[in-house]
Amino acid sequence: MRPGLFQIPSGRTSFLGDTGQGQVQLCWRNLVEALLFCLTMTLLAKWFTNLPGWGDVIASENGPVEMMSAGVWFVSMVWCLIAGLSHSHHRIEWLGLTTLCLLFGLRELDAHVWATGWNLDKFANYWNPSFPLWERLLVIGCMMIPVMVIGIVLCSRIWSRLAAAWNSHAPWIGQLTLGGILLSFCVVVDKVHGYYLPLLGLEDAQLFFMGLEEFGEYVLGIYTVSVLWPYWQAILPFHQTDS
Amino acid sequence: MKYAVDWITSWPAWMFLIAVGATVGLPRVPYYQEGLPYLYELGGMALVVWFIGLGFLILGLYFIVIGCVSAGWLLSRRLHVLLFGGVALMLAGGCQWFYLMLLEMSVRVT
Repeated sequence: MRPGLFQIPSGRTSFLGDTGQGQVQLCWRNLVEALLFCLTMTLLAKWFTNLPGWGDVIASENGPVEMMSAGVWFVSMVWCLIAGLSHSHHRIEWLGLTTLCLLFGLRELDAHVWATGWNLDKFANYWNPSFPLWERLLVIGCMMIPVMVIGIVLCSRIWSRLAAAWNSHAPWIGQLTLGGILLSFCVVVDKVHGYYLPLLGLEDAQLFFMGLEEFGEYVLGIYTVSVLWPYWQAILPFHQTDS
Repeated sequence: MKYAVDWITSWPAWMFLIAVGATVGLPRVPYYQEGLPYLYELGGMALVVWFIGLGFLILGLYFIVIGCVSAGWLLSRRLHVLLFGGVALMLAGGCQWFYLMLLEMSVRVT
């Protein structure tokens, strides 16, 4: 194996392995590009699927925008995973991102409802003998426990590196901050339409806020991809030049 | 030709492919049904596996396209990248197989 095939050129280090492109402050450009892309894809999804209303396209559970959003997170997860395996110096960071993308993807598919559950009845299924044992073990062993363990271990290990990078004003801090603001926006909108609009007597606005939340999550996913893209290009083996 | 290569190596091209896959290619999975809590797991896992398979499919296609269109690469490097692409596509196939197995299981439980 040629040296350097799986490694970032030395001398330039940052949180994810660094690249000349990634050091440029591209926050707003990333966001605008993501917005335009998501608008275009939403229009195309409406046209492709022939769904009757915009609410069915954007705001509905299991609708096209939600599925596209989930697709973006899971594809990002696979790419982060491969990047982590390819890049030993920043493996923890990439695997942390892998877990984050997986969790966002699972959340997009409502895994927090169908996997972990919010009621005791569901947990009773895990020791209910009327279900085959190996199928119960499949659910627990292949999904729940691995996700929990990986999440806990990686979050604890990544925190110190994240704090150090933050203190040293790493160039990607702006992009991370904007992503955090976008994420906060989605969370707030989600909670607003779920709990506070009915309290305020604004049930009619719920569909709008649901659509805003789903669309915001899609924009967040695409924004994340646009930010990570130059890092992927630098780290994954096919973009190393032979010169 | 350069513009085509630039486009195909940019994120919008591949995100567009994901959008098409998730909008048109995704079968409707019976994973979200009230009153069938156990189905949530199997159908939901099937959906997750399908999406992970989509990720490997996109990655494999990307490797193969890049391996073919990139100029100035040595043959050994090109083959290496194509090999990566082939492995990713095989993983995508494995995910699709597992997805179908989980789906069949969830339908059987129904």
